[in-house]
Amino acid sequence: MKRYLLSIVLSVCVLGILCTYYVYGSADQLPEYKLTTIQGDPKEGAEIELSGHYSGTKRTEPIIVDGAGSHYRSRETLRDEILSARSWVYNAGNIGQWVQDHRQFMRGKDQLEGFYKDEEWLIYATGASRSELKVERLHLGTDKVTQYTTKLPVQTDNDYINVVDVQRINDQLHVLVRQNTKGTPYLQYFHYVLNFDSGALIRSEQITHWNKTKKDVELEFYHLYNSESQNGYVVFVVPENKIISKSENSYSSEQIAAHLYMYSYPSGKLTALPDPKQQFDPNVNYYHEGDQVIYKTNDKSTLTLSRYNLATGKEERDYVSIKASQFGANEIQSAILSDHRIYVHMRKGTTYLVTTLDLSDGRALYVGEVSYEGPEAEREKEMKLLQLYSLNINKRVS
Amino acid sequence: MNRFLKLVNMEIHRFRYILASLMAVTMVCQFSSLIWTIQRVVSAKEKGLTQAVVGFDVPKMLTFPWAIGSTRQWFMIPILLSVAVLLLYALIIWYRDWFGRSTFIYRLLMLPSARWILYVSKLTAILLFVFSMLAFQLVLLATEKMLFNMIVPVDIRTDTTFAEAITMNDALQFLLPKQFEQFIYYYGLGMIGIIVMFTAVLIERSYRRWGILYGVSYFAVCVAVIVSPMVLLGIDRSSGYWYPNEIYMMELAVCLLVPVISIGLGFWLLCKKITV
Repeated sequence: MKRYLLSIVLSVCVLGILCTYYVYGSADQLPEYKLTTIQGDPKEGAEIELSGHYSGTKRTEPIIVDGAGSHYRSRETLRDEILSARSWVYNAGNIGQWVQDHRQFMRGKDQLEGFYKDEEWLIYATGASRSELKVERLHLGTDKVTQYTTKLPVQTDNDYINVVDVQRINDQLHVLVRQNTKGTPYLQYFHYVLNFDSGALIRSEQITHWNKTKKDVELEFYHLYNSESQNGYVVFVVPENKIISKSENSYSSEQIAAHLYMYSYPSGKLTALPDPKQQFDPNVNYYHEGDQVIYKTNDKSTLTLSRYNLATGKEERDYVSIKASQFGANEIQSAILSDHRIYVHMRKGTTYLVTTLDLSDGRALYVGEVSYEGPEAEREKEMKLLQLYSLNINKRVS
Repeated sequence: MNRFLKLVNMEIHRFRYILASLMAVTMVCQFSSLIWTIQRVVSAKEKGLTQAVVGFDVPKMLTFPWAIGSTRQWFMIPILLSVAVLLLYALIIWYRDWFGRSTFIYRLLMLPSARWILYVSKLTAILLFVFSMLAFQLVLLATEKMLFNMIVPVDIRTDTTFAEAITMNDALQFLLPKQFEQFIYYYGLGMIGIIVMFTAVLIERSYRRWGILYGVSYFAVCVAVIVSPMVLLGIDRSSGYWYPNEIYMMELAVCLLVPVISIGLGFWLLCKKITV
């Protein structure tokens, strides 16, 4: 036995030291925070995540705080990293839920704007080649998948089929595509109408022809993603940016105007929307949901929403006005509009508040506060070390 | 079992001076740099000198993580040296039996016990050396913290956690991950690497000149198989066909399959191909 003394001592010491370290010494003792409900339905705050950093250690620790607690990046393992890969895809819109419900159909599909869903069908359209559109259809009743590829008329050799909206109206499939056009450097929008069952191209139309008209003004038009893509409309935003300086190494511009247009798939008409704020405000954010286009403006104290109904043409200015002081907060940090809700991130002294409001009338459905989960004596100090500057809505499905 | 313990003990006995030397180099490098760094700052603080005068960082309050962060490179040198020596020894542990005095491998292969015990005992010994160095580093860190507390007066130091000090050095953070699960991943992969290396050595010993090519190819194929689920299936490619949890399961499967095949092949080569 004496012969093996070195081996035995070495093995026992190694095992003892490593076990002791992982039982007692490896815990980082970083403070724990949690988003706690002050008022309303906790389910309305379940998707809210606040991210930022904790600066109480020598190295700044990136952190996410939600209703479940605090998640430090330094605590993530290889498994967490792999399982959270492509989170930007699965957290977008309802993709996470569709992956859970229709796992096989959803494989390899990543473009949120290429999806369309109603009670009967889940459809995905994407560019199959430079001039072909591939449509895959899942019948929700039978789980049967069908697909077809349709050749699209293209104007240039370097085309790329970028599907930005899909809507099914009766027996037709309307697909909005952004692609190259002859005679302009801008990608323009095209509307393709297919026979829903066969995929045969019924008609196609270039619906935008925006081009640069003034020398010192740049155009950068885009469409608004509509999470309820069953209403037959698409909305375009056309901001005009005045070039202040342009050289080889620098470029600066200032937004001087923004025009909104509505396109109706059934009528094929593109019409300008009235500006509900009259006077141009470069801080306005636009959001399209169902028949409504929402105009959001906010500064540190107030958030206001105006809306325009695409179907009726009815305009409601400042129909929601939220003040930070309503919730006892000092300032509004940011706000997100998503899925019939407004999520507002506010700062109140050393802590953070979040509220979920009904998008239709601004009614508060949930108010939550970031709390320190530790001794009360340390609360003030630990809250000061926490900086949460980003609000995210995570539609993680369990 | 008795034969296995005897062989492991023999391997430890053969490596004991190198292991002790590595530990001594690590201790001298880390202690001397730590004591020198702390003392010059404490001395500067006692004399009321500022960073502008002395030319190095003089923090208001000293912490153990600060000390570890300030001596980063002196901690890293012995760690990298130990990693290099242990990696090299994973090859030498076999070759020294062939090329050493009186071709010791013939005596080992003719022992009246299963030959696979030889493979397992060498693997156990290498793992024990790795974990010994790791445990020694932990003991050193605990001692260094005590040294820090002894040198730095209470009024100019702040107490911090042991784990925070480890995060100040990338090499320590990698060697001693916060989560035990991460520890399993890192050292599991390291163990697979050693197993594949052992099998490659046995391939070379079995086929001699062509064996070099076979051994290197085998190692390359194993590395390719291990990384293939992550690289070929595009874990970060948003349009990837496989879901991340499926890729994770495939990665676990190949990490199980590669060592099982390597061990099986190693045993077979040792029993059937290598002759005395």
